Amino acid sequence: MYLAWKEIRYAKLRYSLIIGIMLLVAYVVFMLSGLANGLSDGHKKAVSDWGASSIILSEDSNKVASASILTQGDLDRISAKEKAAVGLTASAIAHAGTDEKTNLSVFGAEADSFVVPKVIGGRLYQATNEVIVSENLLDDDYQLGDQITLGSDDTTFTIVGVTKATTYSVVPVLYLDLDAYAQLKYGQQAYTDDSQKPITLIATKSAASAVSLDNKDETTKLTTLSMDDFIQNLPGYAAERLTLNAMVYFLFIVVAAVVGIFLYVMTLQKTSLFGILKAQGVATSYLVRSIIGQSLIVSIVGVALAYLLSFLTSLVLPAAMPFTVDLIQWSLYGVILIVVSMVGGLFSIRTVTKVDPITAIGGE
Amino acid sequence: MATVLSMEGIIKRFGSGHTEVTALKGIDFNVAAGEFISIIGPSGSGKSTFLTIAGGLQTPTEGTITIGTRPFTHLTGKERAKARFDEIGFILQSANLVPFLTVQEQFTLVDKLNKRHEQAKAEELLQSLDIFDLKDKFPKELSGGERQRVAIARALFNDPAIILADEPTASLDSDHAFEVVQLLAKEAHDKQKAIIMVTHDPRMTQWSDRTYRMKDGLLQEEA
Repeated sequence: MYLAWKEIRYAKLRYSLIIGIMLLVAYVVFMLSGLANGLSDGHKKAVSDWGASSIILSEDSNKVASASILTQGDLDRISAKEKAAVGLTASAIAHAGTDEKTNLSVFGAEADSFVVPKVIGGRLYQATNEVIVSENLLDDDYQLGDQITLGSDDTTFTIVGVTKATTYSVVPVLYLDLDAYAQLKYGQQAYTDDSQKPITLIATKSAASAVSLDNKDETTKLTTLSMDDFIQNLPGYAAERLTLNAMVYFLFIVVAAVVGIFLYVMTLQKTSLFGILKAQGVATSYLVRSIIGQSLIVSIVGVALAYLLSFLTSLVLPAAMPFTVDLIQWSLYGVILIVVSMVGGLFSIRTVTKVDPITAIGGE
Repeated sequence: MATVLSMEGIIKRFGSGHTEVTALKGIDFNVAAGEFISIIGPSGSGKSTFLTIAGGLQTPTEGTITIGTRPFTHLTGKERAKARFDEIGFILQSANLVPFLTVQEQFTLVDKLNKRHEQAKAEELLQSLDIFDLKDKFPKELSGGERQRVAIARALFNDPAIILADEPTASLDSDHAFEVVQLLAKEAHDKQKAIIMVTHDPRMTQWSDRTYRMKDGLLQEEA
């Protein structure tokens, strides 16, 4: 390691360049993974925070929530640990009497069901004209107590509570009563009783395999999805993740190639020195360790700087950019980058072992 | 005086069949501690091959080499590397210092490899060779003569029995060349080292105890 360190200190510019490249690649890896997580959180956060284990949809919906229609009566066809009827629709919010609208995802649920998040300001809704909204909607100039309208519905609602910032389908979230949901989505209709009222899906705390459904003699067949399966089938979710993660995996290969080529070129430049050191009796294993040590130092320094830089960047990113810092994932990717760049360093080992000490003598 | 290096019946052939070349054609050679020996000869006469075999960098086709009391011919590559490190010091034409280490650090590297701490000894060597003031300089900041002095110090540092010098004056002007050769002669006598210097320049042999001429793969002692 002595040789490795001293050479880095001597050839500062050269090694700063590789560390710089390592830093940039690691920075891109961390930023991409932050974006991938941010985007997937944007799609699913409100739902994954429910703490549900499985989701029941109508079978016809082909695992897509927006295509599923159930009724409150379907709750009785399901035996599971805890069940919550949820209505879901995309809508737009506007201040009562104005036309300026903001998109959001509307969830209908009983105020006491487990899917409704805790309020951090105000209180839960108690009447059909009361709603709670996620904190990130407040950036668009909505406040506790505001009178608002949703979509083309004429009803005026009051914001009575605020929950922690969250998103679904990459827009803020609003919760209201199931009756209000039915009216919002399907208009004023006469229902013979509550069991006829429409909902979208049912969330349960039982694992998908532990849920039993009564599917006989019914017009609407039900199907159970695990939470993971449900999230994977959110529109756009899987494709986005796959794309961004593929870029990250590709960068791992890029790092191995870049560090490998850099060290290889530098090793080639040093073959005569290696010949002399070998002639003087320095063990080949020492020289090999020195090269591996250099790729280790370069990658650790590069990754550590990128880690810091990415974290600082995440603090100044605009709120509109979905970005989630997952330090555990970053650490994992950091370790992979370090391992991969050491693999890159291995390319040079053959060159070192091949150098014949005889070349040191008689070069006249 | 004790013989530290003995070579008997050394033959070295390269290639085979039509392309076979015999570089060394049967060499018998002994050096004792405290002797400074010059080997002169033109390029291609086999003197570099001689030096690589004496230094254990390659094995002869026939013949035996003994360093001290240790037969050198049958060691494995790894054992020979270890033996070179312990018993033999090399001084090469040029650039035999690690370019990214200061003069002092050249010795620290040897210490690290030896797992010893002998900086005091290094400083003493530098003092005796009159280059102590250069200890924090990198090789590229030194003149050719200074570099060869450092190389001599580096070769002596491990306290080897034998020092092999390959054209140590090739990159120097005459004044510095004479100075370096005189220094080698002095070290051989003072420190009881066997020093073998290969050179193509006959003017460098005047300080040697014995001078050999390498001609067509054979060594002849000069009168």
